[in-house]
Amino acid sequence: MSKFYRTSILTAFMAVLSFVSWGQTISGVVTDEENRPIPGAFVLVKGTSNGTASDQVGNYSLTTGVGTFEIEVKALNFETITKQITVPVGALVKHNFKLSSGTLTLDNVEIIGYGVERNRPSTGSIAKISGKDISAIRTPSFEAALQGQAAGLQVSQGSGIAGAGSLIRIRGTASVSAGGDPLYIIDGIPMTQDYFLRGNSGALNNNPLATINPNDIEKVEVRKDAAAAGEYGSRAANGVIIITTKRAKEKGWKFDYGLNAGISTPASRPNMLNTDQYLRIRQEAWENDGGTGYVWLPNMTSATDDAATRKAAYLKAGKTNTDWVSQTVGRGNKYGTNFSARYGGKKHSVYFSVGYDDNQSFLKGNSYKRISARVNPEFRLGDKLRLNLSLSGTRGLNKRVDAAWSGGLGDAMSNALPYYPVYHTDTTFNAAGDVVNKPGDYFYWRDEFGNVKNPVAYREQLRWTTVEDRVINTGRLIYMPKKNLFIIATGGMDWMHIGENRLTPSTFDLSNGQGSYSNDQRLVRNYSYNITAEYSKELIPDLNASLLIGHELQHSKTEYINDYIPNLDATVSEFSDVQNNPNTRVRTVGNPNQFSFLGFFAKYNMNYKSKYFFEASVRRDGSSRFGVNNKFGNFPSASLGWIISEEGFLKDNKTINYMKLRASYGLTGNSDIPANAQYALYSAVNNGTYYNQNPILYPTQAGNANLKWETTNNFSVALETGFWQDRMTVILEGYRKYSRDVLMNVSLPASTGFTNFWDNVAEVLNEGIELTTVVNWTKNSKFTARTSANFSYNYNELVSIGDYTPDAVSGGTNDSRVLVGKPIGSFYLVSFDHIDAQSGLPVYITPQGNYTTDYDNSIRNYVGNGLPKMMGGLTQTFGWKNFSLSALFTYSLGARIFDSSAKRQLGVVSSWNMREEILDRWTAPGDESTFGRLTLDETTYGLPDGFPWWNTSLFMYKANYMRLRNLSLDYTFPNEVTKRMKMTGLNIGVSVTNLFTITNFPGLDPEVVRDFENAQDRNLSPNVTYLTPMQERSFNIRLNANF
Amino acid sequence: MKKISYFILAIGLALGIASCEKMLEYPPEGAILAEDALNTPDDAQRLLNSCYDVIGNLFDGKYQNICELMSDNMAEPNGLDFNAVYNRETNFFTPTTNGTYGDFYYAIYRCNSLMKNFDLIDGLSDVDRNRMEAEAKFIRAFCHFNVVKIWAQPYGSSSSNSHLGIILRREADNTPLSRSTVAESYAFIIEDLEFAYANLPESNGSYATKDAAAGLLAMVYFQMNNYVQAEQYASLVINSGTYAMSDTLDRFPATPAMNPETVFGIVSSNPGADHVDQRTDNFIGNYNAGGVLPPNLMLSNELYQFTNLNSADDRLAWMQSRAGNTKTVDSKTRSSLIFQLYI
Repeated sequence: MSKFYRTSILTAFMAVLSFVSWGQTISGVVTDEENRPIPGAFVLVKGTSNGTASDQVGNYSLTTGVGTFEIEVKALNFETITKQITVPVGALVKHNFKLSSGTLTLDNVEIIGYGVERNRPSTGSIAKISGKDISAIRTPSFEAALQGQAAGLQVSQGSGIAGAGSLIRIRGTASVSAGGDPLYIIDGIPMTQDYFLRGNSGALNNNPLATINPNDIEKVEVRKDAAAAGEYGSRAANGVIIITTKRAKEKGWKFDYGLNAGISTPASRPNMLNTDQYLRIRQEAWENDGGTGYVWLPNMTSATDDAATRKAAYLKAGKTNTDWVSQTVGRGNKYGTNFSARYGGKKHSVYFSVGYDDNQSFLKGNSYKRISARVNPEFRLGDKLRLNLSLSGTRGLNKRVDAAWSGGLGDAMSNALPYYPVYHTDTTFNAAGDVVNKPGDYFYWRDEFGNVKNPVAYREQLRWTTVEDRVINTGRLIYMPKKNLFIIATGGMDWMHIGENRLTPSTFDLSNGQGSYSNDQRLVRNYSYNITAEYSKELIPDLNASLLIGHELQHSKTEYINDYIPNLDATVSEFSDVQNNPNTRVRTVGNPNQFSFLGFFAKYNMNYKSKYFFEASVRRDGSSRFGVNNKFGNFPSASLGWIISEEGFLKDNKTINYMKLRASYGLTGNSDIPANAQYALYSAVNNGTYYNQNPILYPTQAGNANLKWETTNNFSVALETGFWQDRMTVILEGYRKYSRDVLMNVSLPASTGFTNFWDNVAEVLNEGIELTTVVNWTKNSKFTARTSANFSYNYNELVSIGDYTPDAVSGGTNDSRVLVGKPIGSFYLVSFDHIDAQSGLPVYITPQGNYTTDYDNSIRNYVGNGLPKMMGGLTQTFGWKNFSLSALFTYSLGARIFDSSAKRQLGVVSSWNMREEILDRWTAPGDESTFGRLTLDETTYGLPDGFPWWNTSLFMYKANYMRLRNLSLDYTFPNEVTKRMKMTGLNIGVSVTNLFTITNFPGLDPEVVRDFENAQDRNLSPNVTYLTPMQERSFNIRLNANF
Repeated sequence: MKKISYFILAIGLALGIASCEKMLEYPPEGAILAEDALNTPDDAQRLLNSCYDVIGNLFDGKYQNICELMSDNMAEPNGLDFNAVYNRETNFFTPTTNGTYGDFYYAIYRCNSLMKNFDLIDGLSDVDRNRMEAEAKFIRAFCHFNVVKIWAQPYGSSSSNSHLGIILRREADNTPLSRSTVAESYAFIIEDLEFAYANLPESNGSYATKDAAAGLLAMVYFQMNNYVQAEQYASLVINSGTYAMSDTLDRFPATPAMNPETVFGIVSSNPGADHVDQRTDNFIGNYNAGGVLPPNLMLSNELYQFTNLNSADDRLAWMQSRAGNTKTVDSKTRSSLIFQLYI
């Protein structure tokens, strides 16, 4: 032990700090009869709401005043004990509590998943993250705060756009075309989790998790293996995330008030060229191509203009220098307040909360406001019946701006050339002598596709909001007719209504002056219920068993309505003007989309001497998404647990106090595909087509009656060890997931008469290692230091795509592919080799290893992939007196990023602005440079005429990074102070997110999740960036008061 | 109490199981399930109509563009897509070729679906069935023939015609197939057309007729350099007395009507005021796209110079009208008939 200290750098600090006196506290460890730590046990001063909970290893620390207190300790599945403890002045009282396991009663059960949560070692892989750790990090949406907090959990924050979602993958990507996200369960029911309800509107996929108030979350469980996720069987192939909201647990009233404020700034900035640089680069390209005189300039002159015209334009352009990034990026303000009340009584208890959160991003004009309310009551209906309700309503108000390909900052990084002014500076006339523009009018230009552009004009004149209303209500009836028998019925509804309003003013239509209004509404009504019965019994002495059987049903329906008003004139510039406009609304009512899910399941659990554990479960699940021949699938799983430290040979070991081995194997599934994929369909809708006035009827979709569940063989083994009374805990896990019948949206050869259909095609392998460790460096000291770290390694391989060719599934827009033998989402590009020092031309290398200067799609090959090989997080917490300092580092290694925008920003000189890296270009024979001879002509680089999209490996970069995800400093006011203020707790803190990032990625941000077109794109194109905004760096202060 | 709870559970499970199949059926609204689509002779006729509709869309400019681009008399065109066709380097980003190719197979799939489902259709008379099968085979052959002309080396390129032809779709299914030889391709086309010739009616409104099959057979044999057979089938049509050469022919009449030379015509499906076809915009307009220079399609300078040798050459005026920066609409391209088979 002493060696342990000596090796620690922290010992030095401790020596100094030990002189500082500590407040009046009682601290110690809560354990069970076998001295195993009990996490989450409540320790409180009886009759008051002054309490605390024990941590992962059973440690607690309760601040009291001076005096004698009745301390009550209670924990799930254990009998509550009370103990009188006297706390003298300036003392640090140590007291350990030992709880004996009691009978399960309605007062001490908790339901997570389908059954009663028992405080016994699990045979499965579950990472638990407390609500406190989530709400402590200020992120655009709560799930981003899970980053780095659990091994095997990949969380990539989308971008800094307000309300943006994250890409979450548990133990790798196992799906190709079907959704690869984990299943989300909130208070016992599956949530609506469709990221594509609004498609890719404005380069933002709607985030279905953004409406959840992080302050309402009690805890989040990440279930990874077949044992932990197996009870969700058919939907658990990509893991399960279980969200439990807060309930009142203590007697009497308790209030919490939280206030936070902050600012949002970009974590990095694009380095676009200024006018002087851009003009010089362009001029050089022109001269390299053999041009004489001044170069022609987009939106001013053309290549065929005479020299004098070109010169005049060039000189005029040089007088304007607009920093379009600064025009679109600024500083956002954040403000949030949350109030909650809890009441615990004899007959009922309730948790109530209201929250308001206004989250402006650093993108000018962009914000996400959330107004939420929650009531979670519990009714005790006699000794045998409990009714728990969770009622919540949220409105998410997203003030939208364009991003990425859609405009805004995306324009600033592409077609907004620095010589374009924001506003006209002088009066312009047309041929007839009429005034066309006056000073102060917005300057508009056209991008290469002819679209009218100016991000400032769009932001200031476009009216665009997305309003999401979400009601999630669940109810749970827990009935215990006799000892050890629980019947639990859970039902819920999740209503999600998204309304997107967009008013495009007439000013953007330069030719006809016509504006338009669109109101797009989606309503998802998702109902589900499940009922389980669980009976446990001691079969023979020391052999306990329990059996759970259950049934579940879910139905979800999505409806679409769009109202569109075209031809609006200049009088309509605000939403309020639309109301009175007489123009006809064109209403389109889409066809509703429905799916249902039905499951039957059973779980059997055995435990001998609390030392050997065995669990087996089986599900039979049906989905409406599959063909008549294969609607149902079976999903069995089995797992074992062995507490080795209970064996004689380890029982009294001084170093290892706890050791558990667990292993599980099972089948899990996925059905997250479009509702109607299985059907072969015809249409009789004319859509203006018929033959010689005769009606027509035609096939529209190929269908596949044999479509069935994607299934994953999920094997997992783990060793959990505690050293020195859990001063250090280590969990080492290994897994192998082999997925079969992986669903793919197969592109059919055109000769079949269809473009695509869904089929169970691929086989995918994910295998990996996870390591989680928690070290408490200090013990019984005023200075505390705790390190919690996790590491994951994942190997991903697409093993087979059956008889299909790689062309059968293409990533489409993102140049990523499925390639057999390579990870899902491989980059399939022309390999760039070097810049020829003599000619300055790019040299490519063919798959056969030959050099060529001819860019040709036929020489594309696998060049890398976007999946991280290794990732994880490290949380370092220091406590001293009433201060606590916490730093969360996250890292990702081995992934590559394809910077899809760099192919234009650093390629052929075009009507896009470029990045400063382009200055490192070839200028004369003999130059060694990163980039080649500048040119305006794409054929110089061997590209097809008119095709400047230079998809080469030159823009694929290594993207290892480590970032300080969150740094926070908190101060808890001493009890004497809070008591005087009639409070039970007062806490203030400051924090900063994404303070710095260490990376070898030369682009904007190494953590990137672009906007996606569909679930397949989301699986295949991680780590492709296309004008994707950077991450946010936020500075926050917060205050929490309890009374 | 215990009994009651088991009872509740049992009911729950029973309800679940009894109706579970029904609970998992949510066929899409607003679409017709394939198995419910074809029930009556009228449904079959509508499916057949849709095949003519596909050909109408194809010959509304798409097909003509591809043929022009792959001819010898063109200069390198403007625009990524056309350039790719011209240079025979089409890819994922240049959908013109695949779109045109795919459209032919849409029609083929529909014909195959129709023939596969004849037995499901109640009350389909043998006469109608025979006619529909003949029409379907005519369209299938017509599509395969146009595909083999564009996407395979010509008949006769190899002595045994064992060089690669096209994918022949004989059945309505999704299985990937490999290309048949040119010999097999032509044999299949002729087999279909012979059936069509034997079973199509003499007169069939705006649909394919016996003469249309004969005419197409003549064209197929001509393409195979079998002039004897070509002459035989052409003669059948010419000597039928149904068609006449016209000195004053307006090949592109403004109002819907077949002209006396038309053996088989596709009526424009465009619902515009007077069934004006879109070749003006979709095809001829590409020679001068609304005054924007350079236009999308350009004739080769060699052809222009050759034409220019004879100032009386009618083509010269047409070419010159498209040389300047003015939009020229050729009124003769306004027509109700967008595809015509002339013998």
